[in-house]
Amino acid sequence: MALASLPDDLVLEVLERVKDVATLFRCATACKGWCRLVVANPTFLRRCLPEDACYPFVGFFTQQRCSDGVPFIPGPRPVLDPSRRFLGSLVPNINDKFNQPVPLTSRHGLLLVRLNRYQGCGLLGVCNLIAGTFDVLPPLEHTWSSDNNHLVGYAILTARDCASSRDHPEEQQLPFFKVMILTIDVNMMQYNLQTISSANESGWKISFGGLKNKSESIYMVLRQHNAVVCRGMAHWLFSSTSGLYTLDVGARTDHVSFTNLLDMGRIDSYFGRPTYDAPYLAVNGKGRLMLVYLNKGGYWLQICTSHNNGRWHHALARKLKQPNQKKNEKKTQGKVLYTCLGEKNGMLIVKDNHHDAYVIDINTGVVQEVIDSPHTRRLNRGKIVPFEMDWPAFFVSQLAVVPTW
Amino acid sequence: MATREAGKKMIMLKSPDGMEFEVEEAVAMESQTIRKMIEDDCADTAILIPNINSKILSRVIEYCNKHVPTTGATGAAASDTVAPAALAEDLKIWDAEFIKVNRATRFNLIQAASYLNIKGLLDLTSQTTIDTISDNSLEEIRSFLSTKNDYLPEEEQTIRRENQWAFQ
Repeated sequence: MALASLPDDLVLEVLERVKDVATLFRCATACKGWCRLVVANPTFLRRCLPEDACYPFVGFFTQQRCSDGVPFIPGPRPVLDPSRRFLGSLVPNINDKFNQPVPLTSRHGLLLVRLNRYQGCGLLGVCNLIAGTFDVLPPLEHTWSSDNNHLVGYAILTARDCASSRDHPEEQQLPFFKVMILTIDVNMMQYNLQTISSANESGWKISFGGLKNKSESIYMVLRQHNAVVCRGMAHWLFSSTSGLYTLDVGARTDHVSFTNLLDMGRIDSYFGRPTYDAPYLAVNGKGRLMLVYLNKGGYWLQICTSHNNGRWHHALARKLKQPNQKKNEKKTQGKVLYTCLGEKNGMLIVKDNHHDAYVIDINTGVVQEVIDSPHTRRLNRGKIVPFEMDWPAFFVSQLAVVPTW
Repeated sequence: MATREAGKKMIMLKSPDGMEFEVEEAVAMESQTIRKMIEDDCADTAILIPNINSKILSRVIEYCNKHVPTTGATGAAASDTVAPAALAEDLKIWDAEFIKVNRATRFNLIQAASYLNIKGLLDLTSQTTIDTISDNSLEEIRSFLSTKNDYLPEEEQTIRRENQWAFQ
């Protein structure tokens, strides 16, 4: 008797226990029948792999100007290809039509780009890096200019983010995305939210609202342009003179709300003064919001997490495990100061005071050098877009290399 | 193997090749499929277990005998004195010995465990199968799982070339 002679659902039940993506891929290519079986059961791969293994951090895009297009810098443990690539090689044709795309935000293998370098331009596109395709969105009705008076935030959401608990988003065959553009007029203390989804033909939906009564302060700063998405909500981190808070938007409803995270006094007691790097909003392994912050003097990562009751707690301080710096003599002179650039799936991208990029594993504190670091002063929070892979989608797209039907 | 004792309800299981197995009801009810039959009063006479030959069925009964909860059964006195952790450890060793069977028998056991709905046995047999193939090459996986390679040589070459990450 052979395993292949068992009924399909039983074969899947056995193969489901493989926890290593590469072994799973080899199993799926053992015969055409199994290949078909895996492709025809989109929920199978998500059952095999834990949530954080489905979407590993693979690297980051930068907004720096480059003659070859938008650079993609692979992380320290490259999943597929260790060398620097460009958006044009991942999404063929995009460079032919749009000469200067600018990456804005990403999620689960999707990348939102502005299709023209000119800021006020309202033309946006969504790249699917797994499929190598891109969609041009209808022109924005309200264009923006990011200046001292206007703050702009972006979010891109997937079918899973926008699904109700009764839906089975994996079973949708059509790729789905939703884009949110948040602009804030600092003088008028008003927000303008524009959203569009690939399932809706009617174009951009626009809503307005006031901020004044919520924040009670005039001075406010958008800390992260790209939203953090978890549990069906997009969150943007703001700071004001009174403290830190998030502007939260429901993925399905577009409902806007505000959450006060920490007031100024508590920020001081958590993080200590002087604050040389601002806290960064991220999602922890349990799908809850967390704030990560690098201590001055550099060798500690502070983590605050949110709880069901809306309260925030200082969860832990993690000592950083530095990479071997013998080969870089200059750094032994004086202290290395890290500042945070971005985060995806438990991996924190930082740069040191010599403008070299590193990736810190938030769970272990291990610091790894980014081999092909862009090494530029212009590298900052607003200028990089961390990117994560969608293993299940990539897996299925690779199985389709050879037709099995 | 099951021993007949006064006061214990016995169930007769029949394999398609005509063998009959008399087992305690509690042992038979390790199978959720049989439990359902008993609860629905469909088990007055012998229960025919289709597709599972006597050799496999006897192994399945052996597994159920070992895994039936001991409280109130024959080993009650022993289980009072043995800590649950030690008992679990003992079961693990027994399982490891039990699953030392050839591939064909293991796949038959998977099928039987699935049909009879015995979660522990399905976990044991499936996990053992997967453990044998982890980190193995495509050829070894094919051989261990007895699957027939139906790709053309050039098709397989394409898959390997496009997915070196999985074949290194």
